[in-house]
Amino acid sequence: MSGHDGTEPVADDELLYRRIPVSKGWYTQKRLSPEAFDPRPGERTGISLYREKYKPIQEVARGKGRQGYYVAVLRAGDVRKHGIEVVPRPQLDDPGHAEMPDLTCDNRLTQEALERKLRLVELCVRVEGPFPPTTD
Amino acid sequence: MPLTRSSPFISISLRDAVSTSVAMEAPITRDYGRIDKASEEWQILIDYQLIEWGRDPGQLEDDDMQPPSKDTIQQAIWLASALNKAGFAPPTRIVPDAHGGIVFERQEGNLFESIRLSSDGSAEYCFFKNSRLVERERLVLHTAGSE
Repeated sequence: MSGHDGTEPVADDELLYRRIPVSKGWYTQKRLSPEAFDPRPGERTGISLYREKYKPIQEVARGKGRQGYYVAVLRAGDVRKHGIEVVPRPQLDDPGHAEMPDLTCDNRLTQEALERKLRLVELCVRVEGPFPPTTD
Repeated sequence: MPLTRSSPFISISLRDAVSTSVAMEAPITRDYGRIDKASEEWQILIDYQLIEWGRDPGQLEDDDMQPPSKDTIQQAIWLASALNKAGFAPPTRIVPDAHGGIVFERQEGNLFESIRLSSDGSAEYCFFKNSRLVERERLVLHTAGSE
């Protein structure tokens, strides 16, 4: 199945968003910490990303973060060139949801995962925000 | 020394320099202020970040991620004090991780190193060059409480 239901493969030229809670201090003084890409509790099948073609960045930044969010922007082709896969994982309420299955909360402290997190910092195209907290 | 071995990247600062009146221009090796500045940066991290976290770890609870416990924060304060006392350069930043741990990070160009204090009390040093892990070591911390 393909089309706009989120199941089509992530193209190399697609931009991907990773949400970063402001409160954690993972983006300060224009420097991004690898912790921004550390799999969080519950990210068992890969770290969560959002596809730009499905969701504007302001929507991605909506969440329950107490101080709001930054959003790190990556390009799919860049990360693939370094052996980090990106796959679509559409959810019922979010067809633009994607994951990096090589980074999970179960493998987060392996050598490969530690190196991938640092590589993602290098590959980050830009960081946008901070976006203020939302009430919903 | 609290660590099992010294970091290859963060070298210990020279504490004692011999001052003479031979050279009138300030040589680059005579930089007493740098040591004080490094120590001051450590102290700021301890006083204004770690101790603040310790007063209310709940401030770090966000987005379904557990904050570091008071014990982990206490361990981080002890480690920061020990590294400062030993003359190590201060980290670029100290951040909570997503699993109740605390990470000291230092970056200079293509070199990156970290010390991760995990919520289970373990500690690990990692050193990366060009995003490649070149050294990884479990640390044994002899904190005040364990002596």
